Amino acid sequence: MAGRSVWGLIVGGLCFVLVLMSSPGDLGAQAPRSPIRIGIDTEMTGVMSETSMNCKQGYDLYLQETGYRVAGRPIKLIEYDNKTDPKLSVEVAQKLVERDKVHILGFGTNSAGAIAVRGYVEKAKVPMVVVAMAGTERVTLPPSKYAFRMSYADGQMELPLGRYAYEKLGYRKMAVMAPDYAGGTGKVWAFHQGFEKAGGRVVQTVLWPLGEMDMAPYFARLNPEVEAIFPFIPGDISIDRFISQYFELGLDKKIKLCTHWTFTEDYFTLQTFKEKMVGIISGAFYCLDSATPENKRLTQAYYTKYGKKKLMNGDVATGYEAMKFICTALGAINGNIEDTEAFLKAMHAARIKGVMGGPVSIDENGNVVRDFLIRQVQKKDGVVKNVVLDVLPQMHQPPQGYTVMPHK
Amino acid sequence: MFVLLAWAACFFLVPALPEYAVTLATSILISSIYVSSANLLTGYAGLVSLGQAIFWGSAAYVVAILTTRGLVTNFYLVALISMVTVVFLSAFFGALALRVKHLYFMIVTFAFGHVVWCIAMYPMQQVTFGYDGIKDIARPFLGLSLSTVSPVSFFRLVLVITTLCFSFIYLVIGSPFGHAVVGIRDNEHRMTALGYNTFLYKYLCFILSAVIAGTGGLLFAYFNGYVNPSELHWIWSGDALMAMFIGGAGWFWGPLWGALAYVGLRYWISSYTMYWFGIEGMIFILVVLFFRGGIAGFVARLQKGRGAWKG
Amino acid sequence: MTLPVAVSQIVNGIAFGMLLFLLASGLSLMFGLMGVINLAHGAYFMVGGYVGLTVLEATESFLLALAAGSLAGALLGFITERFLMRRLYGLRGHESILLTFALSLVLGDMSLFLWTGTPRWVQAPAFLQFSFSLLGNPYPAYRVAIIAIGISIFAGLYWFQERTLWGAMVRAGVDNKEMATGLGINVPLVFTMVFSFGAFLAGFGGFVGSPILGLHTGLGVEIIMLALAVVIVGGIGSLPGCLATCLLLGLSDTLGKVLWPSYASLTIYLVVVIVLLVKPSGLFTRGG
Repeated sequence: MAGRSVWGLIVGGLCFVLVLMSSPGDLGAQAPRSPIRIGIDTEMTGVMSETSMNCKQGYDLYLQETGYRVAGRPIKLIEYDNKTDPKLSVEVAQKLVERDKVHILGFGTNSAGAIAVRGYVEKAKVPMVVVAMAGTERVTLPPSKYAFRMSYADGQMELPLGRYAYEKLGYRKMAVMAPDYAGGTGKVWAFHQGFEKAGGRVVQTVLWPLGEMDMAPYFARLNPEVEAIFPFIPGDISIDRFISQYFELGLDKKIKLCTHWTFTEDYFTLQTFKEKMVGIISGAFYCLDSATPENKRLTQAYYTKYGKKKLMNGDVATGYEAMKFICTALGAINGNIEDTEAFLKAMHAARIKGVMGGPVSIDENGNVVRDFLIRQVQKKDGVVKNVVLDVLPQMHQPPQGYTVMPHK
Repeated sequence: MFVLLAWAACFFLVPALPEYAVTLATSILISSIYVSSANLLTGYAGLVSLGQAIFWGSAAYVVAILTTRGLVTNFYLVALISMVTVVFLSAFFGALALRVKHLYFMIVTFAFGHVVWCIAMYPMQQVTFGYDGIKDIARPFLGLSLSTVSPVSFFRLVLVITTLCFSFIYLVIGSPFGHAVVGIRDNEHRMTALGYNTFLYKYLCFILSAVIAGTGGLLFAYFNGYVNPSELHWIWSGDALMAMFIGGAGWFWGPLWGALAYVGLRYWISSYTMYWFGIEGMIFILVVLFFRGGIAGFVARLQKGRGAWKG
Repeated sequence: MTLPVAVSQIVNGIAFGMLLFLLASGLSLMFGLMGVINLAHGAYFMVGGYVGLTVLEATESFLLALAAGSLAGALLGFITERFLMRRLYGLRGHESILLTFALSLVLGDMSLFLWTGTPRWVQAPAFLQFSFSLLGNPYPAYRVAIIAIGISIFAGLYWFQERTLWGAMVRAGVDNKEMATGLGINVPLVFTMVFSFGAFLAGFGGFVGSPILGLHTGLGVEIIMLALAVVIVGGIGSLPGCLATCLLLGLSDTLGKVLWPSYASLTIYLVVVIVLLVKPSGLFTRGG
């Protein structure tokens, strides 16, 4: 055995140790007023990056307003890109918790990543807060002591929207469309149940592999008897394709759209398709047009910091509220994040006033409780925009199982 | 003798490092098992396969499914079932794939890999949870009150198993079987002319390499606590090959270097930039163009005359 | 599925097949001529699309953007051949594959750096943005234009290959390299030109296809696999064979998505496996 690159092994061992030692610096014992480290495991690239980066603008805005401090302690934000990849999300979480020693782990949008990271934080005993849009029910159901979500859960909006589609919009036969992964099927299944429990019938469920850009084959499958569709697609570009092909294939004359808010965002599809979009209904928890004082203030602050390249949107409000909520909880425990138990309790007890005016709090499972809105695209004051039709107050996450679509 | 000392150092001293370092070390060792499986099949036997992920991923999924659903909790039984699964899969795929050679073999293995990935993503969603993956895989309990929940204890388990794998490969390479396999790589016609049933040798090698890859996958499932279809994706197979080349194809310690470079560099570089895929690619290109023999080959050249051992 | 819808999907499949042809023809020729599978070919497709996008945003001219994208592809191909592949001729084939795989990763990250990770989408040129009626259903004119473009390029390539001196040299190189060199043909030059031209087509395809396929940094890797399937299933050396296979795979991909959405990509690769095991040289391979 001797003479086999034994020397090489020594060099290898040294390199090994060098790599292991490349930590950002020994942090040692915590001085009482040292920074609160909040790690963010989010999508800076990949299909869900637009949403996550919008949310980032929101929480950056909040932190800037508070001078990156709470209860007299500075806040240090450490962010890494998980590339919309669940496997990388876990690696990033490991790095944030083990190497950067974050006190709180913020997570972005990818539901699959959120699930994986939840499994990890439970072992690591670090609180995790979804600060963007990861909606899957499995983040907070079955409940975990350490997982929180500030945006919304799959089904929280879709279930009542389904009922609304039957009762108020008058549809009787609908189709749902989504990519075949839990984040997509979960949302449309919740809508399905809301719609059917109210008396309607979902005559078709069209699914396709995640990441497909060309919607034409899937539109081709729709039955003639379908009156309206409830679709869901992650990622703005795919939504653009969907709507573009919807108009291109002349479907707007035959089938109506009743959608998730991501399909009718003011800054996005309304800019591209303008008047064509008038009449489309969407479920949401933010509306740019809404005249609450907080919305006006935040919108103005947004334009001041980021310019007017993109209109203010719900993602930004979500990120803002999420960070505000976290800091409110931190304030309640006087910034003493080292006492994890106290922080968890404070998260459950906290209440803030949301950007839309309604209260925002946390239920017993760690998921947000907030008001939802039914919006419609209208032409108001010469501008095509979303307008609030109705408010669904203080909606909770649906019970476990409502977003698990039974497969063939 | 020296290797023994180095091993002892790992076993006793590494645990003294900070926790994230122990975790990283564990990750490197598990990856080195995976890369060594590729090294056995591609480096020594000369069969370029893009299907190693099939066996790594399948083993990982078996562990995930059995443990999270409470079907089988005994670690040894889970490991056994996992290995048996891998043997069956490799026996099946190997028999088909080895009917063609070289480039076509690579493409067949790639196609198989893609098919398996598709199956895990879509039709088997009820079982595998598709894109979401399976989480909450608990660490194995080894009996005799040896738990592996802590990073250090799990590291030691991985170290032991890695050692066993490498020792096994060492024995295989040194045996007549191993020499025959290398002979087939270098000149298959001659070996056939000498009366060897080359298909059988290649087939056995394929299965052995699959079992080793599966061992890595098994450990990975326990290590990561989370398994998703990317463990079956052909890009992961491609990564094994790249890491193997960087470490030195056909060199015994190559996989360890390769895993060190691949995992270690990635961990380090990704703290500074998100473009490590591209950097990895560039490193690979440089290695293929200028550092034939990879790191192990380079190190061997530095100690010319000491008799470094290449298969 | 009604008849008008079925016809629409068939036309979609043919259009997709044409895009594949733009990519696969170059790949097939490179493989036949040099025994090299260039996995970065898909990256040329993607980068061509991205470069075209940038030029389009700057100049608002679709045609100018198309030219720019194609030239970008050609340039990448030229650089790859001249500086990377040259060193590898004669070495084991699999190393060149892995090398080009690594190159595609590098190009992928480069695209990520230059154009960010948000997927992009190009609008069809204004004069083609209408829909006409196909059996009662509206059908986008742009896809039909793609079919027309594909056919013209095929015709052009075929004429070039069969009826010109250059084409004869290329064919000679494919059939027998040593003989071709013996006859005084400058084989390395032919290689470089073929490589660059193939990459030109790829870049062209990437931009021309972007209104349908979109642009994202994983596109290069995704599309190369399909092109590879075409080369394997269709065999090398036959241009009509390549086109036929592209249409076949394009149709099965599109129709597969309509009929069995979750299993569509599965079926394509099963076909690849079956063909490889039954007739490894490919369905339409010319010569021995």
